[in-house]
Amino acid sequence: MERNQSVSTGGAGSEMLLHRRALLVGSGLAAAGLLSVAALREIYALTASVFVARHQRYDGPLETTVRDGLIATGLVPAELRGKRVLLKPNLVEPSRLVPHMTTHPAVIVAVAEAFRRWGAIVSVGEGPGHVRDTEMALLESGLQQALDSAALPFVDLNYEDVAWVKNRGHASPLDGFFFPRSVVEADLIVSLPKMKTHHWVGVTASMKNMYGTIPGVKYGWPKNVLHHAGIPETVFDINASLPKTVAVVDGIDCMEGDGPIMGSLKSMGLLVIGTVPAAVDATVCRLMGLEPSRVTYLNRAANRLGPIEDRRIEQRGERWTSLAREFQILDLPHLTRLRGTPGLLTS
Amino acid sequence: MVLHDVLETIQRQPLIGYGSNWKPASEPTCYAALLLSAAGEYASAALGGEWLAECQANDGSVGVRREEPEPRWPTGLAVLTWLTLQEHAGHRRYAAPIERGLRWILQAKGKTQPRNPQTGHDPTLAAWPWAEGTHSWVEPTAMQVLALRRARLSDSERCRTGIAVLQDRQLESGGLNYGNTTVLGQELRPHVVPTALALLALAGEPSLPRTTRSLDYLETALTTQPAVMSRCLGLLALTAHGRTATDTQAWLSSAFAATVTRNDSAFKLALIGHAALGESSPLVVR
Repeated sequence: MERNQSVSTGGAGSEMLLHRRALLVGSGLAAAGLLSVAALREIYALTASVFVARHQRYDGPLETTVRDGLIATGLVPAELRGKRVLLKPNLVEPSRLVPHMTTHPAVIVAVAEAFRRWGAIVSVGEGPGHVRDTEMALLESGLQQALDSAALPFVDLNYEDVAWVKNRGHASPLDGFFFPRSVVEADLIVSLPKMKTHHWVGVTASMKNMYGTIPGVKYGWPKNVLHHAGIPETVFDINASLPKTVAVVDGIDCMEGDGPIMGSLKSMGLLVIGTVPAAVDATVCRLMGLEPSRVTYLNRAANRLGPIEDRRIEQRGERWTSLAREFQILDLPHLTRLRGTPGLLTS
Repeated sequence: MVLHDVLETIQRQPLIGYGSNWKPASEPTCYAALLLSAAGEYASAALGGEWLAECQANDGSVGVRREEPEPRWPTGLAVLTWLTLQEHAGHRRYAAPIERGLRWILQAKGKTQPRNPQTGHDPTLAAWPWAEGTHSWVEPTAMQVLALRRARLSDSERCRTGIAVLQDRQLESGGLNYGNTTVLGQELRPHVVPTALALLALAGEPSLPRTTRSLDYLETALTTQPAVMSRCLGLLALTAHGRTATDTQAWLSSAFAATVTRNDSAFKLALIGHAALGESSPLVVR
């Protein structure tokens, strides 16, 4: 927090506002000393950086891209030595017939290697939302083989012992969440989603992916307690309650149409990386031709969990405008209203 | 041989958790006690039965772990375990927990919703949810139906509704998932575990064409399914409906060896034990 205090905040009123804001946006990462001074300044200036890399392939040098992206968006590698880092991929309902539904094992291993190289203690954890047999999920997704090859430990977040964490978001009626111990005890969580459309909330990326930190043994399969409390509200609340999270989005082979399970393959060749998941997801929306402020949970997250306005997000790597390609969405009013301004896309 | 090895391991620690060396949880302990009871190891099985009785809340429900009385979905498995112990051991030690457990099962209901064109199943039917205040789903419903059927309450209104829900949630093309058939007009994919549990609960019911298609799905899916939970429950469900899979013994032997080598949870060993028991498993309720 020392570095926080060196940032100029202006008058007394704005200082109070900024301090209050900092409780949510990036507060966990800042308190853990994992952010660069530049990233701290961004928090106070209500901005964030997001790194977009194109021409990415699962057999390419992904680890280098991940390292570059995380450093460019404010992570301080020197602070990661000895820290417990939990990688949270999306394995909602894996099927070897639909590899574009789940985070590719190559991306997971690349992120793991990047953090290991920085001296972190890395594990992978997931609580698949639709299936109880996690061994099956690991085999169908191809992740088990990758975990074995890379000697990476896996934690089954659906069944692990839990700890109660107060709801810091207060958007839903839930007082708090039971999170698996590995989630609560992690110094840093890396949300590793697949870039997909979602037939209820429009888009699923790093924030919605955090549903998989919620244990099925307590919330069910599907995690219906969250649905009844409101999907956008609980997406917001879970992310507000887990502030030490960064994002690496697998946007190489993506899903469009009837996502997050039944959609079609759309190849984009992208990795989207950042230390502020809300800003990362806003950029993902723009890349998909959707307006982030119309995605309810992102709208709620705006300037509370991070900036989502384009002018407040500094693009590192590639500009999203040159890479955006409209994703197909179902022709339903709650989804078509998410379309961005016509003509904004360049391709 | 596999069964002998499984029993030897589980007898040493019949209170088991979901992971290796994790604290005991109700569901894995039920599977262990059911297995030990069916194998005639009553003293070890009773340790599980007693532990579950200690976990039982005043309202009759059994939570997921001793320190966690909610959610209460394991109640059906606990009642099934006590009924089996009582039947096998020939005493009435568990009469009171069984009565209280059944009372909870008979009054617990999932939240209903009006019919909705966005989803294919009938949401007006109230079976059992995973957690209070939420909708009815396939696996908790199958667990409570198994208990009611073992308790000879197959004709109760709650059991008939549970069976109706399991029939309704079968996909047109066969199999079940967690409990949605179609969403926004698209049929979803089936999965082995919910299909197997639903078919175990439906064993002995008149077979509908959709049930036959679910069995066909299961038979095909198991030929390429190496995961222990899926394969073992799937094998049991086929057995409960009079179907057999090939190469079962060889697969069980290799699954046992792999589970031990990886130091996986004894929960998996218990499932392997049930599959090895086949028809004699208490999970087969006709």
